[in-house]
This record gives sequence, structure tokens and C-alpha cells, in this order.
Amino acid sequence: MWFKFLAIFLAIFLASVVQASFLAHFTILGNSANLVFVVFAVVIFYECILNRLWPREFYKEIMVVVVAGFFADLFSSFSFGLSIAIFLVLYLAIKTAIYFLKEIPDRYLIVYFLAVFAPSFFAYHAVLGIISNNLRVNTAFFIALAYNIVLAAALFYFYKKIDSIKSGRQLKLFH
Amino acid sequence: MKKVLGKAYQISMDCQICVSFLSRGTIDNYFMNLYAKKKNYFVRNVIISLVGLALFMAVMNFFEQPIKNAAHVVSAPMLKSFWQAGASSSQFLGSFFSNGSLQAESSNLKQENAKLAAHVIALQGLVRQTQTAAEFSQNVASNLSGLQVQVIGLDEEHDIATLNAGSAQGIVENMPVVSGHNVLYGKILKVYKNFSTVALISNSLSALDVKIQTLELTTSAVRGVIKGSGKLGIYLDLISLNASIQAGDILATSALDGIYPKDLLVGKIVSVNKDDAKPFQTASAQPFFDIKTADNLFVITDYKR
Repeated sequence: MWFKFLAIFLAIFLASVVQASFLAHFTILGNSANLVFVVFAVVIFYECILNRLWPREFYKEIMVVVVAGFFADLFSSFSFGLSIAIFLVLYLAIKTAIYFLKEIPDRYLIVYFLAVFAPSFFAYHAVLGIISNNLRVNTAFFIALAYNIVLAAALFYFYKKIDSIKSGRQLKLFH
Repeated sequence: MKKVLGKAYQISMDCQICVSFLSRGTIDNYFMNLYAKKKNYFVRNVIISLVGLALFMAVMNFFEQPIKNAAHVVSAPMLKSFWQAGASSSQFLGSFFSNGSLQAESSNLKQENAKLAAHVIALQGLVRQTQTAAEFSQNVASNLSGLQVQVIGLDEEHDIATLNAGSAQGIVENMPVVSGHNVLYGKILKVYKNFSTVALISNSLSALDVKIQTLELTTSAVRGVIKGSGKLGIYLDLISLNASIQAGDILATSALDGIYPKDLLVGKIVSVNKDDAKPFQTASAQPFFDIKTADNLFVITDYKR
């Protein structure tokens, strides 16, 4: 289990490096991808679904929140703690929303994820925009949202695939 | 002996619980107490976690400089390689996608060529002035010494670039950053030991005084303020309504703000927005800087304000 979270931490670090350097060249009308936020959203959503009935695992999710917030602030111009605080609030909101869902069908999981991702992305950018005095909800913002949604959906399926492979291997051990 | 005493203590506690059952007469009360205790523990844990997190953030902010510097030193080789890989990949993809629009671009170029031919005669008169400006510009560059740096990262959301040199190399805050061709990029925002960040002139908080070098020789110098509109865009503001400006006019620094040297190239006017109801006219401008293709930049280290 700890190996999984170590891999997640490394993935977040790599995402922050790629976001600050490689993805800066791939912008759509000046909108770049926020890979750290995408990784955070995918991991937290998936872990909240998996640990829905296991509240004792929450401290590992908190660690993911703290690490993701730390790396989001590391390569940004903001002080340490801002992204951690926003991510923590978003995590609690996502956790509560998932807790109160009666049933989560595996088939439409992506719809639930995107329904959580879009408002979370909006909230994160709204807070950063207000702080940096650069909040604009215009066409460019919706292009940025669409760009990040595509990236998040791709990463969501990738994460799901890895998880299904891992689950398959675990089952084989018992046969 | 300790084990025996511990066991005896546990038995006595169990007896006390049994007595409490009997005295209260119901088991429900016991479980209610347990639930309340558990709830108290939860509240206590949440408070401890929040206090711990606040302390963690305070410590991180206190050691922000060394932490960020260490992280950049560790990740600098990765940042540099990813930056170069991104630049070459985007160029390749850009040329791939632009293939389809080559015909449209060709016809546009023909039209533009005809217009340019008409302008040649008018421009001949300005050659002398341009030569003088070029000489002056060269003088500015030769009078100032610059530290060569490399761009290793970009936060386009906030128009902040990362450079691979910091206070160890003699960089301090507010130093101007230019290219080899005297194109202004911005000023140093934050300095760490081994790296620094640059607030580009397109940063939404950036504003600098500029001279508008009009094509008409007779007109007096026009001044305005270049403001950042975010996402690598700029616009010209606070131009007098009487001033005659047009698309294509060149913008250069005026040195009035005391941060940037005189005559650094900023951009050119794309379109003018004149409204008599407003006290000033504004203009859309295209910056000369291109942070994504810029590899080597110069930080002017000895500009005397």
C-alpha cells in the first residue's frame, strides 16, 4: 500500500516539473494545462471511491493532498500553504459528496468524476485569480476548463486501467 | 511483577464497568458514553491535525527560500531537458498543423507584399532616423553589462518565467531582463540562491512607461503606459487623445519608471481604440518578446537608476 502512495508522490513531483517546463509550450489560446491539479483530482476522487467504507484510510488521502499542494506551490509564485489549504477544502468537499452518494455505478464513474472535477477546477482558479488580482471568467477560462477536462479524463482512464491490472494480479494470488 | 499488577488493574477496571452497568441499569447508556467519547476523540484529532498543518505551513513559509532553492537545484536538469523537449516538440507540431493553412497564408503574404511596396517610398525617408535609433540602441547595449541566463520554466497563467541564475550570480530584485536584440522581457520578481523568477511585461500587475515612435517625423514624442493583460499579452493605455498614433508604431521604454533603461524594444501597436467619451485613448499591442523560443536572455546588472 505504501508503495502505491510513494508512486503517487513521485507522479505528482513529475507532474509539477512537466507542467512548469514541457507543458508551457503546449497552450491553447494562452491556456496551459494544470497537470498537478489534474493528478490531485484523479487520485483523490478514485481513493475516496475506494475508501468510501474505510474511513481509517483518510490519513493517506490527506498526505496526497499535502504533497500535491506542496508541489503546486513549489513552482508557482505563491507562498507555501495556499494550494495545500485549497486542496484540503476541495478534498473534504469531494469526500463528503461521495460519502452521501447512495450508489456509484462503475459504468458511469467518469460522469461522476467530471461532475466533481469541473466545479473543483473553477473553485481553485477562482481563489488563485482573486489572490493574484487576475480573475476572469471568460471564453479563455472555459477553453482552459475544456483542455484540463480532456487531460483529466485521459488520466482517469489510465489510473482506472492501472488499478484494474493491479486488482487482477491480487486476485490471481488467491487462485 | 509489573505484568501481574497490570492484569490486576485491568480486572479492577472491568469490574468498575460492570458495576456502572448495574448501577445505570441499561447497556444503552454505556454505548452512548462510548460514542460520545469516540466523538470527543474525533474532534480532538481534527483540532490536532489542523494545528499540525498550520504549523507545517508556517515552517514551510519560514524556510521558503532554501526549500524552493533546493527543489530547483535538484530538478534543474529535468526542467531544462523538459523545456528544450517542449520547445522542439511544439515547433514540430506547429509546422505540422500549419501545413493546411499555407495556401491562405501565401495569398495573405501577396497582399501584404503589395502594401509593403507602397510603403517603401515613405520608409526611405525614415532610414536615416532608423539608423540613428539603431546606433543609439547599440550604444545602450554596449554601455550596460548583462548576465547571460537561461529560461528553464514558465507559468503562463501568471506570466512568470524561471531563470537558472540567482543571488549567487549577482542577481537582485527589479533588474531588467532583455534579449540579445534589446527586446524587453520583464524584471526580476523573486531571487533565490541559484534561480530567480521574472515578472514578464505581460503580467497583469506590470505597468511601464513607453515612448511611441510614430512613423511621422513631424509629430512630437508620444508617451503611454504598457500594461500586462495576462497570458503573454499587453495593451497600451493612457495615451493623450490629441496624439496621432497608428498600427505599426513601435513602442520603446522611456526610462521614466526608473527600472528599465531607455530605448529597449517593447512591442508594436496592432490597433488603436479612440473614444472621445473617454479621457485617454488605448491601443492593442503585440509584444516583441517570445518567451517560448527564447533560450538565452540577459539580466542587466549595472543599470543605475
